[in-house]
Amino acid sequence: MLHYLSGGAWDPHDVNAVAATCESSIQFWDLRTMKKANSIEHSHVRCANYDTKKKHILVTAEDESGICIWDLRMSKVPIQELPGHTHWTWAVTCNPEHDGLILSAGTDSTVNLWLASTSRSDKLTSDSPVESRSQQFDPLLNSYSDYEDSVYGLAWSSREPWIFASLSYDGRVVVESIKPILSRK
Amino acid sequence: MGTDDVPLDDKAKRMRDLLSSFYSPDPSTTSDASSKYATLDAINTASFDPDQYMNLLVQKSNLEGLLQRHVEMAAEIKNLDTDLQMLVYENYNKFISATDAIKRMKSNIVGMETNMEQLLDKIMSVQSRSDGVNTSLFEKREHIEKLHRTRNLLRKVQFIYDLPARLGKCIKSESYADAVRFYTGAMPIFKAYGDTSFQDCKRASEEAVAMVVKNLQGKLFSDSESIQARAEAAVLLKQLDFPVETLKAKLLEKLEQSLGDVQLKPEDLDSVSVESNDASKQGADSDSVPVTAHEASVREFAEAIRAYRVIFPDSEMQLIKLAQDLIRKHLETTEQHVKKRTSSANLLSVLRIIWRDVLLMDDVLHEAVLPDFSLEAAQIAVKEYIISTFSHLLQDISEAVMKVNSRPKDEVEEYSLQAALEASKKAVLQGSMDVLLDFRHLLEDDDLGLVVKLRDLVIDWVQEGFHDFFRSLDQRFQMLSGRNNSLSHDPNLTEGSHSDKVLPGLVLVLAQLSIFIEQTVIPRITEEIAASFSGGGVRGYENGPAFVPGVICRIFHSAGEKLLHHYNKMRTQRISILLRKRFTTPNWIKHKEPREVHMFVDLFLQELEVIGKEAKQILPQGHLRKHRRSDSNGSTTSSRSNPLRDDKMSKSNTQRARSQLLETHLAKLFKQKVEIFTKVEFTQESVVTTIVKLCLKSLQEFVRLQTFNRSGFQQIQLDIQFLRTPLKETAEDEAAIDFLLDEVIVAASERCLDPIPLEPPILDKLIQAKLAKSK
Repeated sequence: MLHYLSGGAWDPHDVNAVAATCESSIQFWDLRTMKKANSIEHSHVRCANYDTKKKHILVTAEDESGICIWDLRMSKVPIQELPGHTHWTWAVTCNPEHDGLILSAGTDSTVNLWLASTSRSDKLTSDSPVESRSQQFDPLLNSYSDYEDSVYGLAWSSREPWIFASLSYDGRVVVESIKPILSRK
Repeated sequence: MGTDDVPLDDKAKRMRDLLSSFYSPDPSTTSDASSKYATLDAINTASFDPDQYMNLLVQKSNLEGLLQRHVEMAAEIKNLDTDLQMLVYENYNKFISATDAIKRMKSNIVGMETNMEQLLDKIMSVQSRSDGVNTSLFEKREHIEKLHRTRNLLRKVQFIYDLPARLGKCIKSESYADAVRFYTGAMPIFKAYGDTSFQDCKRASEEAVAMVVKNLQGKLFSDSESIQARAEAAVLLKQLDFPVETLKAKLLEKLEQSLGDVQLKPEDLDSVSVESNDASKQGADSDSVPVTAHEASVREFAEAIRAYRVIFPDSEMQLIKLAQDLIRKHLETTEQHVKKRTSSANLLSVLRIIWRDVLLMDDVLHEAVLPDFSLEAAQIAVKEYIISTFSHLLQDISEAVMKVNSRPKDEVEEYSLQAALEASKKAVLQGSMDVLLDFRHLLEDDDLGLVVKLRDLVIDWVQEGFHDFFRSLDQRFQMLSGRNNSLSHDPNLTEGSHSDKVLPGLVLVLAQLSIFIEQTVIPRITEEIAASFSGGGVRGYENGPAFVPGVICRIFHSAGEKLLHHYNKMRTQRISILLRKRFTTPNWIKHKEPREVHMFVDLFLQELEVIGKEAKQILPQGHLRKHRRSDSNGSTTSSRSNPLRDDKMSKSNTQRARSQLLETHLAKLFKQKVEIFTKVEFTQESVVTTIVKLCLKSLQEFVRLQTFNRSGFQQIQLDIQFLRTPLKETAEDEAAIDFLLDEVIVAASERCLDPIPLEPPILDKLIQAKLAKSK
């Protein structure tokens, strides 16, 4: 018995796999067998997006907890959790070229650009309790707040990997380039 | 001319040649040189031919030369003569004296021969006489010697026969040295003849010797004898071929066992009271009894060691090991003891006891280097004590904080959070101060040599201890609030541990506690540490002080903020579940006319009340209150939502939408943007306002996901209007609340097929009805 299916995403690495977001879980279906292959039980996932560079990496946006990065091979605990937005995180999308660059749109009228490490080993070393003298790696690169209302739509350009477009509720479309941020980093 | 330049060396040469020719005539050497050359120098050679010489001379020189030569020659001849004479006289003198000497010798010896002959005769006669005497006495002498030997033998036999009796006498008179001497003297004979001739003797003496051995053993074992006597006994036993090693082993074993009496028992440690060095505390006699008993047994032990050193000179290693074992066991007991809760005074007195024992035994056994050994072990004990004190403090604080979870039912629920907060604040501050005071006692004790040496290390440990303690306190807070998922990738840690078991109140308490620690506790502790524990640390200047207040403050500041955010999140999540249910259950397309205000507002307001109560208990008040605006009614006056008023039934939907959009855009240009998502502060109002704002935003988002018919839209309008007053009372930022509420209505109207709002009178009537019902 399926609950509300609210969204889905094709796996770019496997033609036969598709992910579907339900009320309280993400389900993975295999189209050859037409059966559910896997599922992640978590809170309300609003949007899921596969990482186009690395296999088995999925990025999800959730209402309350922000952004989770999952490794589908170890699907109990997310690899990394990013704070997301002050309110709900509505959409999340991975940059097709640059590994680890994630854009997220939220109902707090901002679009955030994150740099996340998508492998488990990176995560462990960066989270080891170090003295605060060394700067903790801040995943938030930039926050775009040109919007007046919630941002609901987000997409990377397929031609230029540094350009993205975002759509907010009041009809405003903002096209931005993240090159200046990257050069600063 | 060759002959003129002869003067000095020619004369010397002539002298030499004369002498050599006289004493060792060897014409061959001298003549060979100048035989060939017929020169005027040939006058000195053996092959001198006068005629030839004269011929040569005449040939070579003139008349004057010849005359000169003649004069020279005469002079030389005279000289030679005198020299010759001198030589002869000298030798002649010698010869004369030699002859005289020989004459004298001869005269001396003349009488010698006769004397010698006489002597020879006399001696011959003496010899003959003594031979005669010897032969006459020979037999007698032999006889005497035989008798002598027999006597000796008999004496020995007698000795051996007397041996048992003698041994017995020695045993009685306790002169064991003699006994041993006698016995060892008789040993060879026993070995040789023990089985045949002297059986009885041997047996008896062996019995006696056994008794001696027993006595000696007894002496060795008894502690009451003097050390010298026992040493002697050991030496004697060794002479008797008694295996002294086993005795030694036995004695050392006994000593080891007596270690058990000497050890400090944990019960004793508990009862060790704060004892000052002056022993004039009569009241504390009962407590000091176990201490003095211990001291007495340690003294005995030390004495025993001294004795054994003298008795068994080669047993030092084992004794050292025993002493070290004793100290080690003492310190292990201490380590166990400090794991329980004790005070530093207790630790100090225990260390004092141990140090006294060490000094006692150091007198006796210098080679064990007990002071250094005990210093190392004491370091460990003191460090353990410091660490365990800190962990106890951590435990106390955790318990105080966890009191939030346990609410006794008959107590007033309102103030439990506040009580818990106060209790935990006190635990932190007071606890830290007490711990510091305790440690200061450790430092101030000047008498105990052990502690004085450790002072620098103690300072470092205390500072490091505080640093680590605060870090672990922070981690404990994280764990208690259920937010440690970032630190552990343990798959066993399910997500359910987030918010189900952890009370939001607890999180808020922890947040406020973190800020309290950052603002109050750390400065106090820094002061205290600077006062008592600064300087003299072992860490070099490059490493900096071990306790860095800045780092800790930063940690707790960020922890406090994170916990506050977490609390907000938890509360908002609860409310949004409620809201979600409200908006996803009914069928909004086919909604009925609004009869009354929906009950979700009650639940919503209830939740807000709970939050308000919690915040009031824990957080301080904010600064200023914004003055209220006048109430507005259902159809709002804010320009943003103006389009609602203007909707005419005549316009088509798209036209209406377009005009609405244009107007909203225009309105936005002239209106000041209302900040919804502001930073949350540590005040009651700020927390409540933030939560309300977030919930209203969620409400708006939920509304945007649904499609309404007219009645549905009106229901929304009614609910929002009802919420307007209470929300503005609870929250601080009225402009934002108004704005958000209006946004909800706008969103609903944009999603509505037929957005015709309720008339204000109907609105008011329904709201009054609800208010009347809830009273």
